[in-house]
Amino acid sequence: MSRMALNEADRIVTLFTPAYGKYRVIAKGARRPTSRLGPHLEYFTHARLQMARGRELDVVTGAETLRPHMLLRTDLTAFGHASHMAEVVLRLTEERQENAAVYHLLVKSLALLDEAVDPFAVTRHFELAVMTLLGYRPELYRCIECGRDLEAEPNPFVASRGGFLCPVCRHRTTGSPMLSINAQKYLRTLDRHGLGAAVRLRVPDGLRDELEAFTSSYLRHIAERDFHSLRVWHAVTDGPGTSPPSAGASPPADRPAPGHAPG
Amino acid sequence: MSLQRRSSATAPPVARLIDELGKLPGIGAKTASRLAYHVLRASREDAVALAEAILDVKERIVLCGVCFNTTEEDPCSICRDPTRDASICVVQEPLDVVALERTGQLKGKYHVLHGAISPVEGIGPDRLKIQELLRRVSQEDPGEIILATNLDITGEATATYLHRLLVPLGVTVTRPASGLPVGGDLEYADEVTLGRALAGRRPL
Repeated sequence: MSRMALNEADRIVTLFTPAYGKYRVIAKGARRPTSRLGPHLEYFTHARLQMARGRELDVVTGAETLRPHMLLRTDLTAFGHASHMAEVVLRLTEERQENAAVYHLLVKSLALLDEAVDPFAVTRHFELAVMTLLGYRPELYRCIECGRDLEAEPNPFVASRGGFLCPVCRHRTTGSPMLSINAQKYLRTLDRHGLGAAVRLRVPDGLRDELEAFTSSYLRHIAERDFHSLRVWHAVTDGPGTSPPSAGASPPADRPAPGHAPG
Repeated sequence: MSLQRRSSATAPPVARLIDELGKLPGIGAKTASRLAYHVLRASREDAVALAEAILDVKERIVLCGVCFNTTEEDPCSICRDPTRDASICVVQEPLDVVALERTGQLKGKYHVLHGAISPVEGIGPDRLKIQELLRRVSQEDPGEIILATNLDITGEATATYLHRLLVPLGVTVTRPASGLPVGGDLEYADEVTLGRALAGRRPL
């Protein structure tokens, strides 16, 4: 999930494992082109590893790739969203704390991205599921103040309390962002019917932006720090100079058509 | 970063040297102490030579205004060399230029990006010398751009991104072949490398 160089040719690699959660290890010689470990320890690679106990950090002694996730290497949008998922897990979990549910969610979500399932839906589903698993599940159905069912209308989301306020209780917050009816509906669809239902929804660009801004700001509140991946992805895909007007240039192949499903 | 709580037995000047050495990549607290005491024991001339060498690189080495490689003169000797052709080889770091020059295979010039796109670390295209590359390409008409970024995921993403920006400018964009390392055993190759090696096979 993240890497840093160590010594001449070694690397410290952060893994996410079923038994130990986030887990930093030393990969000897992994920066050399002839390294046998290096390719198996690439970002987002699903691999089976053998370790030896080290003094401070354990050392990788053997590695075997289970799934290399090739699309994440060639498709900038899939790469950007995979980076975001890795960043969320990296920032919201503690080292060496077992969380098999988050592990399986991450494995599944990366595989879906690799199968070119709509990255927007996969990522929002992942975010909502991670929040739920880590105890930050937003309340999507009732007013957090009076407990009444929320009606189909724009409501303010109070990040510090993890939920919406109904029109009667709305005066209790100032400056909380309003979430549109459709954005609330999308989140409830994800919550009730899962990813399968969400990928079939047609989500216009404006709604995509609104939902991404919503989950990003709630994640920022939870982690108490900024997340970089999606900002960088936006700079890469719609930054200045990325769409030079040129006849015959192929359209960017990075946003799959809505409803695009794995074969 | 001060990595180790030191007892008052360490004199402040030594502690300061240990702290400074500890900031170097790959140097931990123990290694920093060992290096510091080595400097302490070394002759005055050796210590002065080390200090001067450090100051020298900071004062005399600048980035080439054309290719952004580290150089003593701006533009650098490679950019000024009239025998080199106009093609540009794009690399991540100055050390990559050194490695490529050792092969003696490249006849063109370089462009150093100073990194690769890495969303997790917050490094986007604006942090790299990419606008400078695009400007250079439109001014110099290089014919071929070789994208020699690393073959890891961040290097690949950077190459994909650059490819999309460069193709509309009417240049040929190439990437070094990837495959099996010289001296490597086939049976130990990972599937990504082996797959690419097969995809890029050539008639003998």
